[in-house]
Amino acid sequence: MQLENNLFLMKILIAEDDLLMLKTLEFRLKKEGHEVILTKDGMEALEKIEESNPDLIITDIMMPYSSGLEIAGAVRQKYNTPIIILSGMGQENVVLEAFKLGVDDYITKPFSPNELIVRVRRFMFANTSK
Amino acid sequence: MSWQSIIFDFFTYGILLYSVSLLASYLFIALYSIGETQLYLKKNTFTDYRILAASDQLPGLSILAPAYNEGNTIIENVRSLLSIHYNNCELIIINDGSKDDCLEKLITAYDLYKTEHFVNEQIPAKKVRGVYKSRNPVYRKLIVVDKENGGKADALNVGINISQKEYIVCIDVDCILEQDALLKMVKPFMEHPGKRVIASGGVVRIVNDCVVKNGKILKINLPNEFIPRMQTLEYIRAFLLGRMAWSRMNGLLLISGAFGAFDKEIVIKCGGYDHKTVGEDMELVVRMRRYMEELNEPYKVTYIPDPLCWTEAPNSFKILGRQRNRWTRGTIETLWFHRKMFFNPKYGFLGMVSYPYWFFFEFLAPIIEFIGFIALLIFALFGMIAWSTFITLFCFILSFGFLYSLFSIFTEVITYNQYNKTRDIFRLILTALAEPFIFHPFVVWSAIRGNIDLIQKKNSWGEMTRQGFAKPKTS
Amino acid sequence: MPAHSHQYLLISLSFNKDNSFFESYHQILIDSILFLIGLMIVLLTYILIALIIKRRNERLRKRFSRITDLLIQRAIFYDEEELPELSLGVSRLLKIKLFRCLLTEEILKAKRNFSGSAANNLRLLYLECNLDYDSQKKLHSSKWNVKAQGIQELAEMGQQKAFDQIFELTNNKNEQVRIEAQNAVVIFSGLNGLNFLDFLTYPLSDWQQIKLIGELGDATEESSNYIKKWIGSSNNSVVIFALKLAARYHHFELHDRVTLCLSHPSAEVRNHAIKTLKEIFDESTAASLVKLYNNEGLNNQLEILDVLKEIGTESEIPFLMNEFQKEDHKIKLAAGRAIANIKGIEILESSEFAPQYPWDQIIQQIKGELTE
Repeated sequence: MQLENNLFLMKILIAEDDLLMLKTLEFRLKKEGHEVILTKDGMEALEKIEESNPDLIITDIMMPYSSGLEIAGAVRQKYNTPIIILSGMGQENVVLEAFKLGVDDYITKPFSPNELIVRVRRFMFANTSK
Repeated sequence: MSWQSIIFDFFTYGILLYSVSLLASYLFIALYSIGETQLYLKKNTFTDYRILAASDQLPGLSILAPAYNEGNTIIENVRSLLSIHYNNCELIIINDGSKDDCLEKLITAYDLYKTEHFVNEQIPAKKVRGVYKSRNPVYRKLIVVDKENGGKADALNVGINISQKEYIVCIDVDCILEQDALLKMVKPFMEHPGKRVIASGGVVRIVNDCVVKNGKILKINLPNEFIPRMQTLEYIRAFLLGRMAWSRMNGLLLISGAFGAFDKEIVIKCGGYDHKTVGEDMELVVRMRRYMEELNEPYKVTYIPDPLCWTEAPNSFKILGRQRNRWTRGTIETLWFHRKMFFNPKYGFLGMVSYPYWFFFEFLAPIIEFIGFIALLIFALFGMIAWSTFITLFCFILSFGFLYSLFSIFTEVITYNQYNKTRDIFRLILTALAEPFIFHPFVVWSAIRGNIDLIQKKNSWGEMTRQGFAKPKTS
Repeated sequence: MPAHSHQYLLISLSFNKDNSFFESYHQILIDSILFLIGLMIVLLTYILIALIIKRRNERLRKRFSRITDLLIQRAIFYDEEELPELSLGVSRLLKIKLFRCLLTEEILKAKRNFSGSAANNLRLLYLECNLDYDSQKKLHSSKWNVKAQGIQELAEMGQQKAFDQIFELTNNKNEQVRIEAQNAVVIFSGLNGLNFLDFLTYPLSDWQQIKLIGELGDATEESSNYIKKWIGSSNNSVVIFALKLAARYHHFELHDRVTLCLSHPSAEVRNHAIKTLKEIFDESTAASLVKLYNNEGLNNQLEILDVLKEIGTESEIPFLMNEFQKEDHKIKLAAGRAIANIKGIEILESSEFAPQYPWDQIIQQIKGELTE
């Protein structure tokens, strides 16, 4: 389904240390028409978030320097940006903690890129107040 | 036959026997190690540690990191440790009565508050002044304990008292750990059904001149300076060729104080770390092994050859000398405390092989070497043996040494190959050639000094505690 | 601790004036030195060769990676209908073993991260390139690590037709082959694959149990019966594994069978039975645990107290208050936590010994934990 309405396209920041994942997400999201910012670790992610003020953040948990949860925590202190966690860690306490920190969605790996796209679309139409 | 020649014969043939058995045992250890390392590497390709990190079945771990006057780097160190991939763990930083602002920095940086924590004194230790946790849920794993100064062993014991998990991982707070380190360390504890794994050691590698950013190693380089580079070679020999073999035979006596995992229950049953010795890391392992032998229960001390822990090596002769001196004293103290096991069949392999090996080939070696060398030099000077003989002997030993070092470099290349620049391998080889002329005599001399110091200071243990834990500071 | 680098020992010779003896000794030494130098040269050559080979392999890998990356991206990025054709260059590269190995490795790695159509495409790629043929060959190798590798590949790529061959290997004497085979049959058939537990003679290590549980999905209709059967196994590690499964799937109908394990001769089995009862309990469980308590060692006692924290009732309070006064601090803490969870912290605070050490501190800690 191609989307024509440019008003709802987002600037999405991705934090993920696996190169293949990063490329996959980039490809799929760009195909939808979104602008994509790629970061490979926690530190870079936090920097770029400050710089570029994205509309949506998709982050892994197990990354160098900072965990995705740290990023979520830091972001939630200042902004309301929607956050999707995309991680191999599926333990209950980790998921609960993530939601307690205020993330909006939690996807465990292995995941289906098609499903991710659909989940991302939900955030397009939610009015994001920053 | 004059009494002189009898003594002389006894002396010389004794040393001959000693050196032949020493060289033979080194050879055996080297060959035995390689098989074990190759086996480990092959098995490792089958494990995806990331996937296992997601399991909720992994046992709990407490990382214990004593800190003394680490104010400059403590925030970074803690941040680096907090980023390790392991869900069910707690990071316990024990502030051993630091005189600087170590504690204040931690409280500010990590938003700590003082909790009501009952300290279960399972091991007697110095008083705990406070137990702090973070208000920020992201730092939920962090616990900071403030206590009166008591030395490294005492600090670790306090950590053990506070810990709520089954296994403890004792590290030096400024060590850099790989992110998968805990996952790899916990695996041996779960892989030997029927035997209790009481301790597991890891490889400590030298981080000097590696590119490190925010507690993560970005690029591995060979140290540029001579002394750390020499130690790199030494560590490769010791870790790759030595410990793997001992682990395979289940005779490992030593786990580095910079990085080791232990079964907490056994540690407590043994009484924790002994603060009366400077070699508390080795002494604990020996004591734990002894305990299990006396209990007559099947157990194992394992070892992981993966580079998981990186530490700064001393780069001055002064600090290196102090370190080796301390190691020698620690070895002697440990051997003395457990002398009952010497060739005692009740202690199985531990008493009949491991302990005697450490006694003869680790403790006595520098002494015999020193005496032997001096004696031979004197004999040559007085014409009792020809200079050509002296030189030939010297060359023979040198050759064996070079061969051994080359063999360890070879092992490094075919296993981990961390220094993958060809130039670095050749620098290592040159380092091996230079070793016997400067570095090695110095190490032997430090060991001799260690012996002397120990005999002299036998009555002043108390001074140990106030010095904290003489960690070689290089920056 | 020091590396054992004290190999520079000098051998003293007798200074006996017997020169011929001395001469021959000298000659032996010189010969040995030459021999050692020879060995050194051999080693140096080996090192050089090893370095060259590694270099070459690295270069090849880099070159091949570019292609394998493209292939994998092609599989993941597109849906099935849009897949472009495989180029001719690729079929030429597929003749090279190193390339095929690398491609298989990368496909396997990628498949672990993705599910759905992306995963399916990866599997199609694997078949398209005939990599299943390689995996089958590995399966029949005599070398354990190659065999195990083949099993892993076939399992992760869903090659069901290899199931029977792999199932036979689940009790293989080589540990790694065994482990991979066990993982494989679970990947293929879920809980039904665990049928090898019926005849497993080797112990199931904790690590392996973690892996298996990680692979298993949800419970099935017959799972309860299977698990019940395995709880009765003579292989203790199988019993423990079954207990973990019973807990995981909350099979309340197995409650009585699990309670029977409380009288198992192995303390470890009893420990896991206690843990399992935390997940599948009924009104009588708490009382059974209390009855068992005094005969158990410290570890199991602490486990019981931990379970009572979750499932205990009013009637256990007197017992717990009694334990709260026992000497061992760990018991005090565990009992206190249980009481606080069941009835609240007030009953602890109002007890007569509350102001004394160590109860005062313990109660404070428990209070803190409750508010955390």
